[in-house]
Amino acid sequence: MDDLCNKLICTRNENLFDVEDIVINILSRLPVKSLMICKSVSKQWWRLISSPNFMRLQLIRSQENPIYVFYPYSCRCHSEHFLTKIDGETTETLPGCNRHYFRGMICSFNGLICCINTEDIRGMIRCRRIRRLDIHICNPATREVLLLPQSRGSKESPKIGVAFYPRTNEYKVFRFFNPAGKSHDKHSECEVYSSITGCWKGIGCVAHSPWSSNHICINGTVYWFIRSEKDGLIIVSILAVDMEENFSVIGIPEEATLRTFLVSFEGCLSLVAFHVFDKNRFHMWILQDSKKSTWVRKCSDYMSILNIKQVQHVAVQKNEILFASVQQYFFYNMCSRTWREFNWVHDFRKRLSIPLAYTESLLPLCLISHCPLGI
Amino acid sequence: MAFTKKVTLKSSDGELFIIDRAVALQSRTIQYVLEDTNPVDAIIPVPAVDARTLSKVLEYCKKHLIDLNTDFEDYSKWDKDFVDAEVWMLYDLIMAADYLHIPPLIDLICDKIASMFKGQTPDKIREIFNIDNDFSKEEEEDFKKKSGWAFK
Repeated sequence: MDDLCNKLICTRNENLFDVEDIVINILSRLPVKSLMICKSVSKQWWRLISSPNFMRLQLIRSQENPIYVFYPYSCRCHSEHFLTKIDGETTETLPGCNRHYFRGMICSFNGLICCINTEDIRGMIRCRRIRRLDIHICNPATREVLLLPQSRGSKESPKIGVAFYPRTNEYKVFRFFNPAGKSHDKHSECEVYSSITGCWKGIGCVAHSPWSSNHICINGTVYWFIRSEKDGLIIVSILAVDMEENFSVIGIPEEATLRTFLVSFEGCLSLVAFHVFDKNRFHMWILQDSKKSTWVRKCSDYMSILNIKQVQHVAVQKNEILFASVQQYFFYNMCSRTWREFNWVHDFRKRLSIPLAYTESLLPLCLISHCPLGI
Repeated sequence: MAFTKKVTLKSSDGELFIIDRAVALQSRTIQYVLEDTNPVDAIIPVPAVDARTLSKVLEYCKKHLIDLNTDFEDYSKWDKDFVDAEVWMLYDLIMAADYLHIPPLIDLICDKIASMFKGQTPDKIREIFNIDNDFSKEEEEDFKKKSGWAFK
């Protein structure tokens, strides 16, 4: 019996909140807005909620309940800048960040959203147009917004891609541009911004440049579509840049050339592509080997509900594919092979919306930690 | 038969609870004790939990015994009523669930307490859960300035 007693010896805590494991367990179930309030309950709670471990735990819980955000805007009215969150059937407006241009929302990862906004500025020489690009990184849940420092001007709209490294919470912004003033030179250059250094670093000329800022980041590697010409034919492939800034090119399945979207599925690079011959059928491909460009078909179905020509954006979370047209959103469940339409709570139908998969988080925008309370 | 079908638990205030072994096995702490020492007809002391809390925990364990005849939908309603308790009771329950290591019960109570924080002011949270405010006036002002939006 002594042995039994020894195993069960326990000092009883008078106050539940002295047991940090339990407090962390409770707090990690709260939405970020509530956590911002809980931070000011006591120094202990402030310290717990601000710790990187807690941020990680909160993110894991948040990932169990993935949502989408979208920015509805009409071409006529640019004054309304707000981000809307879809949570099941409810729509909630995320206030704040009003001044920033969600119109140019280009990617979302672990609660951070990157928005770009281009502005034409006239150069010294007449008729030479130079485009200035504002890149914002925001966390709509904590309402933090960071404007990245300006980088060199460009003749065309630069192409952007953001790499997030889940282990360190670091992010890098890749910017491909055509240096201003070198009109004879078609080569693109690339610059990289790191959240650790807080500044841009040039990596010189690059062989491939993406044709749009549409990209996806998976485990620290960023993927864009690129176009190249071979024997008079335009070939679409994928440019990949890893954490060490190594560039590589991945071929796409032959059948997937009509209309293709980059998505992330279960931590793998995937494509949602419409069939070349059978125009209302879509396929989902998963990259199995990036070196050999081998793809495996995950699912395939007829799209009876929407004309594929209307599909503007595609996003995937858990087992659902979201197909978005200008006015409608449809979710396709890969397990049950069923469709459902998203019911708009507000009348956003007449506006163009860009949906992004989103996970609410506490992640900071700068990695240099600020401790205003000195705790 | 190597194992006894019944297990006796003794609460911190000395009350004895004779329960089915299957009920007791939902507690990983007790499971560990039983597997390790395999006491026959022994009384297992639970020195951290009083009789009132232990009976409530055992009520939960009995309900949640995997029973094929029970509709799983029944649980959510039953669970909701189970945690509809005073704050002090929730305190005692979660401490007991943590000590006895019953993960679904820990989840249930954590969700309940978390739901009580939602939409409350820091003052109200401190009041309900009896937490001391160790911030200075200046620090509190600083908070309101920086994340005042969350308090609206």
